Amino acid sequence: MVLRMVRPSRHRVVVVGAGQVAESLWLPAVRLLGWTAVVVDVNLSRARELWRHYWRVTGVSGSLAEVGLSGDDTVVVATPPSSHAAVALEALELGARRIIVEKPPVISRQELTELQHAAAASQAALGTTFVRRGWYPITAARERFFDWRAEFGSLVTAVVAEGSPWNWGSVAATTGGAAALEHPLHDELSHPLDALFHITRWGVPDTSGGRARSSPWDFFGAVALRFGDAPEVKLAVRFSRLAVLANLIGLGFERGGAVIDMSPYGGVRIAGEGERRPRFVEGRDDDRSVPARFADLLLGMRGQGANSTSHIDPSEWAGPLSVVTALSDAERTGA
Amino acid sequence: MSRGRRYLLVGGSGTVGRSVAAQLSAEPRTEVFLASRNRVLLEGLSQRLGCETLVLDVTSGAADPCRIPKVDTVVNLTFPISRHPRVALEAVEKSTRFFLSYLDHNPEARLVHTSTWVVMEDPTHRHRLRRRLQWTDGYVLAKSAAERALHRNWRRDRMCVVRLGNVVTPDSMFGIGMLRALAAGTVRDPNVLSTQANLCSTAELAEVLVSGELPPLLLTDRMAGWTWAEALESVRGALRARGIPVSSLETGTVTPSAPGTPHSIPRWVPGLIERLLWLTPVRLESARLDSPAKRRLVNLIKRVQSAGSPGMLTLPPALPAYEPIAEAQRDRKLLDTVSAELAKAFIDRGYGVPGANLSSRVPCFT
Repeated sequence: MVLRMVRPSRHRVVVVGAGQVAESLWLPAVRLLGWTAVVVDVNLSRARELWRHYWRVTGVSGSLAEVGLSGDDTVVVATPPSSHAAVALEALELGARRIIVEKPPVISRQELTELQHAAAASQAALGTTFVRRGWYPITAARERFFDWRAEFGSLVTAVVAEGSPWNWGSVAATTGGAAALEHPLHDELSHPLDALFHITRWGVPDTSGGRARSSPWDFFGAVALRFGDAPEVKLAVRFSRLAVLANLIGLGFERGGAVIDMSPYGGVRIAGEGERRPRFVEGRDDDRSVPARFADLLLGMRGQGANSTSHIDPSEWAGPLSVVTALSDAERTGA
Repeated sequence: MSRGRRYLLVGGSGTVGRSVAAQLSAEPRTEVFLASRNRVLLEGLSQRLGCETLVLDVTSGAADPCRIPKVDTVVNLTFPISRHPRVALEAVEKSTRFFLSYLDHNPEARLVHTSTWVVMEDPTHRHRLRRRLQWTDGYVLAKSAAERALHRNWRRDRMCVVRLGNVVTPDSMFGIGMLRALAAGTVRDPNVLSTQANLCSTAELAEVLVSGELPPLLLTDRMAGWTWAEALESVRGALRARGIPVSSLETGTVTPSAPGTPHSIPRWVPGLIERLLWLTPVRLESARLDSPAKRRLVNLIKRVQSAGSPGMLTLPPALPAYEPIAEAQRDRKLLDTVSAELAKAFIDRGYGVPGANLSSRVPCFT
């Protein structure tokens, strides 16, 4: 294990996974807080690269077992989604009691159940990173959702489209073709799906009638959601790597609709049945940097910070996970 | 005189390149090669259009023209994206050397370089290339540097510079701004709607390439004379024809600002910033911006350069007001074609408001 001497800090963060998320989000967050970090990655040279650039990184290691975890450390799991649960479970076994798992926290119900049981048995705090919940359009929509239901009737349809104008980073980063579509389903679409469930306060739905059509470049899926005796909601999901889509969540009620713009400074537009013009909840500038939001998550694990996204429970992923599972199954079976 | 039908689009995976590639690929007996740095996008385009692709970075200095397919027309659609002006200019010089070398190795080939209308500071610039750097902002600096490099190395009858207007495609900045304006039903400053938008369609560039008639310098202005309001109304009409009602936007009046500068700020301010950046160390190009102080400084610079305009990423979008291109045309057919493309994107991408159309109870893009 490589070490560096810096002024001791009160708190240490162990970042597992020396990828882009660690580099651009977690280490700047650690720096903002004045804490220190240890970076763990099986690719030690990559971890060393981060150590060279970030003075707050006091050490690197190729293995979590080498780090010597204590209950005071905060472990951040920033590995690929398929390994999130395994790494989090290993951290719990090694003595960690504060664990933040990058989104999506797990990729199956079984993993979620196993992780929750292990955390409960260790009395550990678990969190995840759906920080977009703090974006103004999402908070505004969540505040107004029940008013919309009262005005427009039951929710009948929902659409989720994920696309980032002029940002091809996610496109250029992957070269896996069709096999790599698991990545957008679990990773990039997890944000808008979580936002949808957060706005509507949905629990875990029964899913049926899943349809999916995908190519290496586009994904379209549709699934019917039922929550107890409530009316069924038809959900459609769209993702494209080549075409620039609107980043949005669309809600279609019996007598009106709302579209939530998924950006930090986007807005919400609402239209009732027969209205010629949409009513508009204007977007507002959001100067809060993403690392600052991730710093909130670190503080939230210590019970500090009153931000609405300072602690997000991974169990809330269970609902969106049902949707992802239904769409994945439909894609595999060619429905 | 019509010439060969083998094209190499360098920067072919970009917004303009993708659209032009699709149009050229549809032409009979035409072979299109796409070159870019983005192998993922190239793979997708290859599958969709059947073009041959190659990964190529003309700004690296390592690109070898001898390894590039021999074509009749090579189109430079690249643009150096850099923080530091010296890095950008160095990239321009390297790419120019590459294309000159390509022409030297391929005596039958011709170069079409895509520039921008924004470099035309006064009417005299309409008929000649920029010979001096233009310090308006980083984008214009790089574009003027490219024209200057070509002017210094001009190959008569083998070069053509096409100055594009504000390109509107479903993926371009202006296209997305229009889609967002229609979705929001408003823009940040309704007065802008009555100003000339200086729009341009990629079809204009494609037609020039197909015709083979390549004058030394030309400006794509067949659509530039339409105002924002007229262009948006045209897309509304295309949406109505598809059964999608979209409310109209209110218009006003405004005095447009200087060319290339979307808002009324002193013209020397962004240029001063570029000149000051010129004096800074080149290593700033790769400096990490992970500290709050650095990020605040960068955001401040960006805000000053954009005159504080929130731009088209906000909702409602801030459509820019430009000095109108003189003698711009108003080609109705071209506008209708572009409007149909945008209308399709509006529907496919879910910009519509669910429930607003009673006949559409299903999500917008099913």
